[in-house]
Amino acid sequence: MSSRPAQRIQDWRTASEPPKNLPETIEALLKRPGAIADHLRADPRITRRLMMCAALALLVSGIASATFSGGAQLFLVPIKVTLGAFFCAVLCMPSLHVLSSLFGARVELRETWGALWMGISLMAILMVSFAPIAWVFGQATSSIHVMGTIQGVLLILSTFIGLRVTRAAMERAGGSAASVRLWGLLFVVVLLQMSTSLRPLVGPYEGELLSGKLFFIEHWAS
Amino acid sequence: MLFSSDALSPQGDWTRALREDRDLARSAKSMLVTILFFGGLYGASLGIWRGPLQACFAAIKLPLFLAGTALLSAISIAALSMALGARLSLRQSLVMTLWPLTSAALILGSISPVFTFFAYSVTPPPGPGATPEQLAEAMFVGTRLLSVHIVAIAAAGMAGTLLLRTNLRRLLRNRQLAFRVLFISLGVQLLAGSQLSWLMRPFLGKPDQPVSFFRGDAFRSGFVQEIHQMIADDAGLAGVAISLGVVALIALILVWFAPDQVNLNVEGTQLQIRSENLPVREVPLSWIISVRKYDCQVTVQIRDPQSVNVEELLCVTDTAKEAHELIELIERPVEAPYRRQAAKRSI
Repeated sequence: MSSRPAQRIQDWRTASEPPKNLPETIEALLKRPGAIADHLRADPRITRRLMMCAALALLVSGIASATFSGGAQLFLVPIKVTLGAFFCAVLCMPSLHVLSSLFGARVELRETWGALWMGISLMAILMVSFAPIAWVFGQATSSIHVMGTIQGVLLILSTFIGLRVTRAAMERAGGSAASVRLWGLLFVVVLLQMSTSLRPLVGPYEGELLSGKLFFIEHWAS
Repeated sequence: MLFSSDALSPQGDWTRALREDRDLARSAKSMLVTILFFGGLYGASLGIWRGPLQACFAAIKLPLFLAGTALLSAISIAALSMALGARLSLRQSLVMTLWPLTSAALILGSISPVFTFFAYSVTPPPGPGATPEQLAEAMFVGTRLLSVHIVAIAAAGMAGTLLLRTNLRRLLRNRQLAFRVLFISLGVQLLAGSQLSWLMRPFLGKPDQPVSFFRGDAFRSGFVQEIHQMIADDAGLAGVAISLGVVALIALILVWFAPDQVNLNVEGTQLQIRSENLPVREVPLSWIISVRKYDCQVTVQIRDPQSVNVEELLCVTDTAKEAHELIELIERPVEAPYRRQAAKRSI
């Protein structure tokens, strides 16, 4: 066995000091996620802080994304993005808990909920960090399709990186990485459908809050 | 109800009950309750696209379909397992039949919120007096939804089978025998389940037909013909769904056919076999029917005289010299011409 995974586990084990406030939670999420995973069962405030961190980051990334269209979208997009992510978490939590438990994780529901929010928070933070790049692209094009594609790619990239901490937290509880990876695909599909259901997110506001029902594959194909 | 996933996990209560052949009646009862609850949830998400009444019908029918499949196939699986040499009690066989279906019901139930969201996110079926174009569009959406559900059910079934695999290997202590029992179990359940699902349709409900509990023409045609028709009508997603199922099955078979990697040691006239996650076991050296060596790999075939099943063990040593020493240890205590011949040929 190579030494790299063992080193990673060691890092996680030694990182046991819990974060005490929101800035510390953000820092711990980026630098030593083990410190958060260690205390999810004992301290429910950590999960609440993670949810708050995700909400703030999603609002900021929503505003940054809405600068492309401007107008009412500056108000609507952040709210839609934040509520959409919360709804995705509610929809996908049961499957994460069941799949992880079936494949060996010894976790309580609140730990699963916390591990899920670790992933979503990191995803949201990454979306904020990508906002300047998206903004630069937004200044260079007026095409909704181009901007939509860039935002979609950044969203998927952030999600996959973000869900790595969810996977690591479940692995730490004895779960199998494969089951969480499989669940990650489901989460991405739900996220893409949510972005389709909540459209327009990139284009201008046309008087309707939502643009009707459409399957995400048809939307992206068109 | 999410406790069931803990019970089904490799360290769970049901796993222990199955392995130790105790409290199986209670486990079976809990499994049936789990199938009814989670199967019902998934059934509702399956039928909700067509409307609330279809959701109710599907919520009743889907658990009945899962439990019916288990009951229909249990006796056949028990008899076939025993015929293959698996020393399982009838109760163990019954629980073993319920196992993958319970896991599948749990997984499907847990993703039912996602499917309900999808059902509300796509174009709904039109009401009475719809134009042929509207009906055609609804049929198109319905076929795609059905394909997605087929993939989900196949994936959940595969996951359930993988979980059962771990238990069977521990229970039977013979990888090849466990594979045969699992393969038979899957085949019988697929046979019973596919036809039962055909008889109990509609689950999703076609938009051009009225909502009903059972179809009037349930006993006409069959599941295989319907799949064939789906591929003929729409080679896209239905074909992908079936291909994915076939690929998953092949992958599973390939994983299973890889020989068991173990550590081997000779203690007197016994061969000690140490395998990951399994207790150490000893078999008489006289059970060995062949030994093969290739570089650092030693492959040993053993056969229990009371059974016709042959088990293949793979031991990988650090050096070729260690592999040679292991073969010498195996060969030394019992002089059996057929084994010496096999060893000579392979070395």
